[in-house]
Amino acid sequence: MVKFLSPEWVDRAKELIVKELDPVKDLKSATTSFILVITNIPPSGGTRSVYVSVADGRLVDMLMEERDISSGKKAEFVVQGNYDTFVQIVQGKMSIIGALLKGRVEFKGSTIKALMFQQPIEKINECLRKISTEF
Amino acid sequence: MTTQKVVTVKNKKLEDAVMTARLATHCGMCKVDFLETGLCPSGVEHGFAAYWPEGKMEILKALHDGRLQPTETLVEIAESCTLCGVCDRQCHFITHLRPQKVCEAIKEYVDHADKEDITTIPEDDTLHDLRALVGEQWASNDPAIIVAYAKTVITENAGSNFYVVMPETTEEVAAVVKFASTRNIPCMPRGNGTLLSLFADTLLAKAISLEKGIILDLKRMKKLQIDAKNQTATVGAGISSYELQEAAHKHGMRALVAEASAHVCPNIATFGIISPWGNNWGGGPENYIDLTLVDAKGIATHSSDQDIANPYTTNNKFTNLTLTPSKIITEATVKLHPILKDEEALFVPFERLEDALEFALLLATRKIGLSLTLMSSKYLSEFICPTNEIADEFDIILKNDLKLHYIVDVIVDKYSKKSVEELAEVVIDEPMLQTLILGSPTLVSLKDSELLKALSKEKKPLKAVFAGPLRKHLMAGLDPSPKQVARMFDKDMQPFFEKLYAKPEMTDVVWLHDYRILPSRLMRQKMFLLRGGYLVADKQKIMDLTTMLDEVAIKYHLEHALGFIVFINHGRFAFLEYDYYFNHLDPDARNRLNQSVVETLQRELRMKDFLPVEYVVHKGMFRKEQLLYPMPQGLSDEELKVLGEMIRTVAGA
Repeated sequence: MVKFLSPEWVDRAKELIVKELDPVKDLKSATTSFILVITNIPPSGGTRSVYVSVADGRLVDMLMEERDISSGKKAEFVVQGNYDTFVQIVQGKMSIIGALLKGRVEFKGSTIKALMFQQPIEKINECLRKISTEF
Repeated sequence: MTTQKVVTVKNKKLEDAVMTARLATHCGMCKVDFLETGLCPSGVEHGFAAYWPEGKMEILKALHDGRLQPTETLVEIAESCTLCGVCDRQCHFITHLRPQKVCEAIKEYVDHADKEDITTIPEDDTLHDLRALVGEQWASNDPAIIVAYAKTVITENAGSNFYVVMPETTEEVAAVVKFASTRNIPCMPRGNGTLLSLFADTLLAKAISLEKGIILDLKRMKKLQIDAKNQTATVGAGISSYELQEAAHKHGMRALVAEASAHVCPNIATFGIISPWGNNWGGGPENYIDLTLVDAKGIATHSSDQDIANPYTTNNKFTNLTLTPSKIITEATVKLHPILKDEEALFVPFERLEDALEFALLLATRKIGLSLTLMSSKYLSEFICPTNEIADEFDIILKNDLKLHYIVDVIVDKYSKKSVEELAEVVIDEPMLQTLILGSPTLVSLKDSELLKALSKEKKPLKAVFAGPLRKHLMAGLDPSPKQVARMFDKDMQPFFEKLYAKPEMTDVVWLHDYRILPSRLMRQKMFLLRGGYLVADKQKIMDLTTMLDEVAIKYHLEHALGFIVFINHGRFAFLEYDYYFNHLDPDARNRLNQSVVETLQRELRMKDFLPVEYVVHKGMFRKEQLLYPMPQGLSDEELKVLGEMIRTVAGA
């Protein structure tokens, strides 16, 4: 069991994405990058960012920082929301699109392009769901 | 006695009550004193939806389905009902249902419940904090309170992981939202819930509802101030269209409002008030002076503040789909417009939509008339007929015998009256409209009569009936009277309805336009979902849209009809509502409706110069110029593919 958004959780996520996702079939040879900014993390209410970069469907980079990196680091998309929303997304109780429509996340970047990556993002999410996580 | 025991009781009375509850469509009219009967005393005192007839319907269903166990609050809810009968009168007028039997069934359930089975829901830390913000009485985590919000802000099977909070002021709303934000608790406002109820039985239900968290019921926000000198009104988020109109009328003015039960502030947030008067006075954005807004972090601002980001702007791109409000409007200052002394209603009947459209566009672009609506005979029939059955027959007679399929409904002053009468071949005036309102049962009784058969063979039956020699015979023959209409209601209620229909306003068509108490009859024991949206007011474009909506409805075997078309910016744009009716208790009908929603949206988004209703919702407070200029030019195949995936995701959101 690893703590959600801990360095161990990120390591496990990287491992699973590389091991379990097919660059063509699952990740559709996508080339993109995005930053997830998670706010209000209990108990202190802190913020963490997860940066993910893929090229031709292969994971290039995935790193986590204990601050909002969206203004400093370049990425194609930024998705910002609170801890509870991301827990629901990772647990598969809510999709990112659902969260967007409900106003639970703020989005920066081309929505059309992001929508085209729906399927690869859902595959990544399926991987994350396999991590035995303590929320 | 446990819930399960109650469920298995073979009790005709209970079965009737449960069926009444299931048929309920939540029009919200039980919270508006539109018949001057007074309001449900229990609802007025306690506020929460659970104490109103609408909420009791959900409670009974939940008890019957085993989703709700008895609590002390349930006992209070049952005991607070005095069985005064107000709900029966109100609901019977609109939907022909009798909710009092639902209240009786809940009372009976509570009376027979074992005291040991009745639980007390403990106050947890969150509830404690919420009560500190809004007052002990106005926050609850009791499942009996929560379940009453089903089919509006939450789904039926959403469970009890909720708090219901009723703030009274903007400061309280801001404090609750801030509290929710800092604790990662989802939070969603609820006005009267009518719009949400329309989506409750569709594939959009999960996407528009709250899955857990805080339900912010805004009904306690009852501020209502008229500034007669400046011709404005300031309303809190709990003020209904009816209440605002009533206050404005006392000063000889009217507000542009939605249906009677719609709360003014949430309506501005959702659709921006689509009104028959819009061609002259615009929609919501042209009619509000100032809004008080609370954002997702609980920060309150006014749209008139000079140091905030432009609050009037949005875009109409297909990715800009927002199914929940981004901000809560807690207060609005809206314009009022003087009522002229010589206003009256004229209905111009047509057989063909093309002709009706041409006439309506002529009036809209030439700025003739004060209010202007094109509506179908179905709408007219549903509005003025006292029951479903009469409405259906009335509609058939209008179409088959009188060749009346569409009406251009225009409120005129004496100057525009002359123009309309000159331009129209036939006009249905107020005396004839009053005759139809009070004589609809007799007209229906004439179905298949020699008189109507003869009329249907006339080359121009509309002219013969409404402008020719038959007019006076029809008016006399229908023998219009309040008694005639009252006879269509349950026997014990007939004296009440006879008195009601004797009131002048019940046949005052201008009054009916202002107060809009009749549109809720569309939700008479069945549900409908609106399709359509804004489009450039071009005859061919409107015809193409209605043809497409016809085709899809036929494909999925859905009862369907054009609802209405209103115009804004003097005929530059139109808002078209087309209705798909379905039995919300039939899973197959719901499935067909859902398929039709997907198909219509995909086909609508291919169209040029058209903004579907899904893209209008929650953009009501923005400037129309932002939404309608330029009009969308239709999606590419690739964009439609993306949209398809988006819809699939939304359906399972």
